[in-house]
Amino acid sequence: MKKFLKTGTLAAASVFLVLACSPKPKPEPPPPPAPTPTPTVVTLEPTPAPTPRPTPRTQEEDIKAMSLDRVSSYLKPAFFDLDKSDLRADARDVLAANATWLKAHPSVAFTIEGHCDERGTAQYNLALGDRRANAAKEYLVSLGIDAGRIKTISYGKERPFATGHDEESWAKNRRAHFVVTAK
Amino acid sequence: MKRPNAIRIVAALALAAAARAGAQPSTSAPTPGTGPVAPPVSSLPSQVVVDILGTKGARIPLAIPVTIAALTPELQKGAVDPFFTTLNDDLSGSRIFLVTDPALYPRGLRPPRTREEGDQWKASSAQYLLDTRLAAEPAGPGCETPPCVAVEAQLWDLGTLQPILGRKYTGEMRAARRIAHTLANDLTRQFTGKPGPFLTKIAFVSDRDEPRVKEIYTMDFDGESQRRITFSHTLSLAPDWSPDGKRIAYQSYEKDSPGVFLIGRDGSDKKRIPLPTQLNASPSFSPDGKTIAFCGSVKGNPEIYTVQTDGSGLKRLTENVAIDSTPRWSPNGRELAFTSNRQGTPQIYMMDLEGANVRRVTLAGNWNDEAAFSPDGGRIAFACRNEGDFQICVMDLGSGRTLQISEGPGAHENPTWSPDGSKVAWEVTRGSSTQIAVANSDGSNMRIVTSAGNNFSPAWIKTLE
Repeated sequence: MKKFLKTGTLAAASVFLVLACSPKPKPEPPPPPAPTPTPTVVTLEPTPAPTPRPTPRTQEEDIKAMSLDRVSSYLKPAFFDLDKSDLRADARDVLAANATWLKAHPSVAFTIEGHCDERGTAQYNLALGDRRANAAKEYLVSLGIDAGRIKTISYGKERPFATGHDEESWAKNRRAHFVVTAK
Repeated sequence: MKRPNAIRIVAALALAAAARAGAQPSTSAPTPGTGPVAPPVSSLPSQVVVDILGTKGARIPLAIPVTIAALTPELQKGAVDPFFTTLNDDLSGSRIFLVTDPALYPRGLRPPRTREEGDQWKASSAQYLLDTRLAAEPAGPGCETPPCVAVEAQLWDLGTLQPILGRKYTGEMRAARRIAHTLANDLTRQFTGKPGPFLTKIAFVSDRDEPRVKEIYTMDFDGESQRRITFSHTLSLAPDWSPDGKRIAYQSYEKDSPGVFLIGRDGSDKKRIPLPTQLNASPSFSPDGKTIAFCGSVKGNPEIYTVQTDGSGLKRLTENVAIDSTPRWSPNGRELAFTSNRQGTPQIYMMDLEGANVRRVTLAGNWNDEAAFSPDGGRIAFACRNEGDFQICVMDLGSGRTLQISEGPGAHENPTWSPDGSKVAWEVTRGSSTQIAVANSDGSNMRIVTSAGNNFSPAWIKTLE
C-alpha cells in the first residue's frame, strides 16, 4: 500500500510511510518521479502509554481512604443450605476469591458473622450460626489466611438481611457474612 | 370475658397406643392434670391415668358476683375494676375452678341465708359463692401511702350454706390487682393445698426500645407491670431465673463478644461470668443455684458446658461433632435435657452431669427443641415440628406419651412452666410479630399478654412467691 506524499504542505504533522508492495513485474519503466521536496521531519511527542484497564481490586493505598463498610463490600458472603454448615461448591468459590483479595491486603482484619433463616429456633440457630462462621474461617485458614486476622461471631436468626417469609429471603439469610474491622 | 366451659377428657389408653406407634402429636384432647404427676419410672404399665389435683377431673363450680363497693368513680375505676377483673381472669382462667355464668346469678342474696336463697345461687350450677366487698380505708398498718382500700372476701359452700374461707386484705389502691392475685392464690390453696401462680413473674426479651437491640424485661404472669431490666444497647437474650428468684442469667453481646451474665431481678449488680469459650448461649441455672449450664463453642463446635457462677470449674459435657445446644437443667439436679442433631435432625436428648448416659427422648417429628421440665420433673414441654410451623408439645417422661397443647396459626416456641405446673407460657410468631402467650398446661385459655414491639423467650420464675 502506498501513501502519497503531499507536496507543498504546511501542516506537516502527519507521518507518512511508504510501504513497498510485493514487487510485480511491470512491462514499462516507471515514469520519472516527480521532484521530491525535502520532507519535513517532525519529531513527535512520544505517544502516551495506553491507560491500563482498571483492575477489579483496589490498591493497598486506596482502601486506607475508604470506610470499613466500603472495604467490607469486597468480601462476599458464603451461603448455606437449611440446617447445614458444610460449604457448598459455590461457597468455596466465594471464599477462595475472598482469600485472594485478603492476601493482597494483608493489613485487613475482619469478623465472620454466622447467620440463619427464621425457621429454626432462636437458640439452636445461634449454635448453627457459630458453625457456619467457623466453617468459613477454617476454609480461609486452609487457603493460607492467618487465623489471627479472623474473628467469628454468631447472630443466629437475630439479624436477618432479608425480612420476607419465603425461600428467597431465607436463602439470603443463611450465610457467613464478612465485616472488616481493621484496614 | 368468660369462655365456654368445655371439659376435655383424655382417652389415656388410645393416646398412649398412638404415641407408641409413632403417630404425630395429637391435635385433639389435650392432657388435663395440673397436679403432681408420678415421677418417671423406667417401666410403666400401658395406661397412664392423669389425676387433676385429687379431684378426679371435675372443676370446682364457683359463682363470683361483682365486688360490692361504693359507687364513686375513683373507687370503681381505681380499685374495683382492676380488682374484680383480675380476680375473674385468674379464676376463670384456672383449670381448678369453673366460674359459672353471671347471667344466672340472683340479685342480692349476698350472703344466702336460707336453703331457698342458696338454691337460687345453685341455679347457675355453682357449688360455691365468692362474695367480695371493697371499701376505702384510712392509712395505717398494711397501707402507708393513701389512698388505701380493704377487701373482704367470703367463700360460701352453697350446699351447707357455711362460710369456709374468710379474708380481709388491706393495701394501697394501686395494689388492687395484687390483692386479687393474693385472694386467687388463697382460694387455690384452700382446694389444692398449695397456692396458685397468680403472684408470679415472667422474664422475657423485648425489642421495643431500639432498632437491632433486645433487652431483658420482667412482668406479672398476666402481662401487667412490664419492666425493663437490662440496658445493654445490644442483643440480650435467653433469660433464666435463679432458683431463689433473686437473679436472672442471660446471654448478652456486650463488647461484640457474647457472654453469660447474671443480674439482680431489679436490674442491679450485673456481672459477667468469665469464660474462655465463644458463643455462650442459653444459660440454665441448676436447682441449687450454684451451677450454670450453657452452650459454648471452641473452634466452631457448639457443646454443652457447666460452670460455677463465679466462672470456676468449667466442664465440658458433650463431645460430638454435631450441634449440641439449649441445655435445660432437670429439677432433680442430676440430669440435663439438651438439643442435638447428632442423628441427623434436631432432637431432644438427656444426659447426666458427667455427660454420660445420653439417651434420646423425642422420637417423632423432624425437629424437637427447647425442652422445659415441669416443676415436678415428670413432663417436658418443647417446641415440636414435623412439617409447617413449630407447635408446643408436652411429653410425659415416664410413658413417652406426647400431646400438642398449642393451636392456631404461627410458630410456637420456647415454652416455660409456671412454678406450680398449672400453666405454660411461650412465644408465638405470626407474620412479623412475636408475642408471649400464657395458657393452662393443657393449652386451654391461651392469652396473649404482650403487645409492645416484639417479645420473646419467656422464662417463668421458679418460686411461688
